[in-house]
Amino acid sequence: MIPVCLIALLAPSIALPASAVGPGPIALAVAAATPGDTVVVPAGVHREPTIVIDRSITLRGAPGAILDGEGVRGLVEVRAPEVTITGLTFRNTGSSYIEDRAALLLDGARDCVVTDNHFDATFFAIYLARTVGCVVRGNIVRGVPTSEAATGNAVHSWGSHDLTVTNNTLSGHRDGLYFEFTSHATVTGNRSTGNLRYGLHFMYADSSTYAGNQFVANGSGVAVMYSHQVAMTDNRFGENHGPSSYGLLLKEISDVRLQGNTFDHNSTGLLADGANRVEAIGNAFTANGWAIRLLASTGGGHFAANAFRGNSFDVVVNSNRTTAEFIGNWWDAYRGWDLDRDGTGDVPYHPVRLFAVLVERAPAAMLLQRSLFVRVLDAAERTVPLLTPTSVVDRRPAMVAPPAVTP
Amino acid sequence: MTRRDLLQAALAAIGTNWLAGCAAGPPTLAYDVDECAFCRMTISDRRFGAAARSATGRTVRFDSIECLAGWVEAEPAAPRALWVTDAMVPGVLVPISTVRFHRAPPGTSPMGRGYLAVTSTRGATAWDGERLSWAEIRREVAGAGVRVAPDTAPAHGGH
Repeated sequence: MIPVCLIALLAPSIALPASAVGPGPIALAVAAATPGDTVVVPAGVHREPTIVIDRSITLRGAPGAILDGEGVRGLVEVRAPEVTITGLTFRNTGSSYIEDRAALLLDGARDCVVTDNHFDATFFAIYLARTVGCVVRGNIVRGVPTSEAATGNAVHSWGSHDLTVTNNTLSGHRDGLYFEFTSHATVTGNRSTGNLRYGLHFMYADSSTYAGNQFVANGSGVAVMYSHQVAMTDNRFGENHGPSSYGLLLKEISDVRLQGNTFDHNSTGLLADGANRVEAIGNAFTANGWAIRLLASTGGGHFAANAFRGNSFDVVVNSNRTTAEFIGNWWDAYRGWDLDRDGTGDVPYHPVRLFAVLVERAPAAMLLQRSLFVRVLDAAERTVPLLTPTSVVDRRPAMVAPPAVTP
Repeated sequence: MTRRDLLQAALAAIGTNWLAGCAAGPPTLAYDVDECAFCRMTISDRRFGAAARSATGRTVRFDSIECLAGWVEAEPAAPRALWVTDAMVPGVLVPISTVRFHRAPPGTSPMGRGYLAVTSTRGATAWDGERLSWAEIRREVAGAGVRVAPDTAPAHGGH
């Protein structure tokens, strides 16, 4: 049986002075605990200096237990292996330009578990530095989204590996999920919305998996960079609007597998810049400005069995040198026929419209989008391709649409 | 007012606008909106923004000192002006000649390598790590890129 050490606070609702010298009641309880103990924080608002956990214990909040930073400090620092933090509400860290102030900092911690906590108005909420094998699950993080006051990230990981982040709700921060030098991460079932910059951002984060997450209505969408061996499956990238907003930006990325994702209602669904060996299979691109933009530095892409519905432009490339293979996709703009009834169209589909190429070179040309002139141009180009890349072609376009995915 | 006065006023207004367009002052960064010209990230952290005016007069914006250095290294012609942010005065661009550079604590700057600038006349700050010159930063970025791996990173600056 795990010994349980209940800390008794006379009246936790009475505010302790912020300038209290020495450790507060919770810190004293932690100092008295032995490895394996559970320290239970009773209901009420607790204001005490930053609590440092230096031994392998569980810190559990009773229902209604709140740690309040009074706008001037981080709340809990974990510097020991096998620590569990659960059931607590963290709030009011205030912001700082000098330090990366975090409600919950896990530094050098191995096998930590952070579950079922609330974070309200925190600068960084959960900050993992050089952790191994940690789990962040079922937390609700709500920032105060103002463009004036700078904010940190909801879940921030630096120099960590074997990290699991699952079923969290993340909003109102700079980035919902931020990983730098973080490898072998598994990120599933999270909902990251309404963050100022990115729903998910990672760089130098190799060999990681992202599945079943919702990245919706973030300032610039999702941007992932400088990484190898990334798998993204069954995620939704939606409702990101703006000249530099993307459902998903792949920048200097290689060996990416995109499968079963939905890209909907974005200015650009998928932008690949310096992405090598992108494999995109069975994704839905719905109602985007540009479904897919491939920049010149991108090569070796393979796009199969995707569905393109209601996009202004399906595919645009900014160079004739772009190499990407499209095969067996369903295009709502395809006008071909299937006389041999093998399920694929008998004439190839060229997904790059001439007008898309013109807009790529001169964005102001967008004004002409719905004009008769542009329709005539597109029709002429389809008959005799001069400017559009002939290498970007689907020779076996699907005749039957895959079932529509409702986001 | 005579027609001639009107004409003069109009010409003066055009002239003023034209001069303003070519002003030597620092450009503005639209945080959380503008995209870094080097790494494509949205510029967000107000302590690290940077900008340049190219030889042809084009304004170029960056999310970090690393990216500014990377762009300068790749630019064929010498730029007209460079600006960085004093990390102690977030959100304000200052001429590069008015700052000194330090190595930032790992994980602080938007890119992996980590540099920060403070105004030369400022006293010691909480961040004052190893000091570098702009030439050294350019050499580092030219040689090894904008990233540095954690295991080769300098000792952690603390939180």
